[in-house]
Amino acid sequence: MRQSESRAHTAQTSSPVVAPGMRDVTVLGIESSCDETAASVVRNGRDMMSSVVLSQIEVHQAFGGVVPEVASRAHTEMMTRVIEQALRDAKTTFSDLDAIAVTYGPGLVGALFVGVTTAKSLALATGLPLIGVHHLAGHMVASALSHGATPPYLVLIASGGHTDLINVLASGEMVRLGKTRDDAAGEAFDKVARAMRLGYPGGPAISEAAKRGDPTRYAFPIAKLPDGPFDFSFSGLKSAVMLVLDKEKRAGKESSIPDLAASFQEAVVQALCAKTEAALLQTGQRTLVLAGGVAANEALRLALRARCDALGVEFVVPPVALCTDNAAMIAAAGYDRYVRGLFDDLTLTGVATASIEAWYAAPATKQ
Amino acid sequence: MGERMVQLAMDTSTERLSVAIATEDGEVIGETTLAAARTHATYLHPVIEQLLSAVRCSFADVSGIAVGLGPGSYTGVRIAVSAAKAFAFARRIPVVGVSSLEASARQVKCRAGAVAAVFDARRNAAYTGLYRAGVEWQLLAPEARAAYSDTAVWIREHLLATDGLYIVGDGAHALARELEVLEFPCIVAQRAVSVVYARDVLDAAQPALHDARGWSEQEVIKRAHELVPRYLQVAQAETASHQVGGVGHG
Ligand SMILES: [Zn+2]
Repeated sequence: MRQSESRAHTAQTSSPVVAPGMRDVTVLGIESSCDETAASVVRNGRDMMSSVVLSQIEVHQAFGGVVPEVASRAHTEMMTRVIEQALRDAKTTFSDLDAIAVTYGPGLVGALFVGVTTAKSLALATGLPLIGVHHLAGHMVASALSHGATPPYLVLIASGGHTDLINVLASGEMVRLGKTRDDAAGEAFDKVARAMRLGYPGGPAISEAAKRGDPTRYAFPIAKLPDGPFDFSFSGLKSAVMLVLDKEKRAGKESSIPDLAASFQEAVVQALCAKTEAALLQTGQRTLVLAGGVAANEALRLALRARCDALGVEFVVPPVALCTDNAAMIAAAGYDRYVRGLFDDLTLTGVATASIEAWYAAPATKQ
Repeated sequence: MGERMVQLAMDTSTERLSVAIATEDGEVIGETTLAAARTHATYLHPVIEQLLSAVRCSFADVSGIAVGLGPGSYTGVRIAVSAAKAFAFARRIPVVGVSSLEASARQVKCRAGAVAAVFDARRNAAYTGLYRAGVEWQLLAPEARAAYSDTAVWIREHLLATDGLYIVGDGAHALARELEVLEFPCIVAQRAVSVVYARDVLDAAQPALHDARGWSEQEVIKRAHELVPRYLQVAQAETASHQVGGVGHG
């Protein structure tokens, strides 16, 4: 079990947001939307008392990607153990908790069912309120855990499952400005890495190979989507890389994997930077928050920081353990719902595609 | 509330969702079975909550849990099993898993003869369990995913035609046809649908639930963690024909 240091982020957080005199609110978060089985205890939406993340990467490595059935089986086997560990790390029992928060979507529906079903049992068995959390809302509040960031801000979420630009207003209301039309950024990394036989997951492998390569060797296209200025598309780029591999192979040439990796990565980074910069300019937001597993990519972080510096915009990136899927972010997002009195009933269920705007407006079971 | 302790049983391995509540000596005082295909994840908990309240109990009165482990729909069995594990973990009460096939066979209320529970698994195969009915049910052959024709041949070689063979489940007619070819007599239970009644899960779990009263709290938690569905098929074999999902890390 990989565990982020239980209280490591506490020192950086701002003072508690609860009003003076109000008692502490402790939330158990549960996450199982993809291939991480995770549970965490967070106090007042900021103080991370424990965060347990059990990654299934090794199980899926043999298949070169996440196999939904394999993921669901692993979640079922490990979920109660992960929750027990999170409670133990936080020196907490169910009687110390105020609510159970769980990711209900979006994600792999069979995987989501495991977390949601578990959370509903805990809620029914203990009488604690149940809170369904939108996975992307979780990614957004990771910056609150690490930096005490509060809206308004613009968020770029780039992961194996998502590539989204979301404008978060001062009220906390969320508007999704852009999304990917096809592959998510992390998915493009995985697919290209597979084509280059670099293994899975593709992000770290490509980033490593790119360090030895020339990013200007190949000029790969950046998709222009006139009807969606903030939307992304990575499938054309992926095809372009595969075409080069194929062409060079047929010409009897051995492709330079470092050059290809560097050029591909450069194209992804430029696409993400260009759309993000345009969104910053249009919204006038003064803070950019980066979230999702692709935030671990150093080239992307450097490029976004440079753009933000040039624009005088504050750039916030939570540590990698909070950028990749975890349950602390779900508990923190659950706290925001708790404060607003937004709870779900026992009909809560896993939803493969769930709208962030609709979720902000009402609980998942009351839409 | 709280005047008596009760046992809770559930199964979601088929298209039916079934929940039962019984007293500690096994008397069923409430049962709900819904034809609710693909909505088990939504309705399992509301059904449990309503049933508990209808028999004037709260969750604090539940002293033991029985759950059908499958085989059946992969997604389906995970719902009851995940729910049961979490109930047991949260309340520190024993959970006992039983075969959904065996529980399904028990709906044939005979006290002698053989019963085959057959859940169709597509591609001319089924999840099959063969039992000798009685006060104590006896497993005649390991439960397996097997071709109908192989199951029929096994039955002809191992069972006596004079014993009487009942077949339940949505694969009943397909198995009966294969047995007919081999001239082996059988009786298909009225409606050939796959259904597992939670009262039968409870029945099958009764001896284990009785033993569980002697478990320490540590043992209770350990068993809850270790409980897993009975898929009767390894995921790895499945994946050969499966598309790798698009969603990756993060
Ligand atoms: Zn994610």
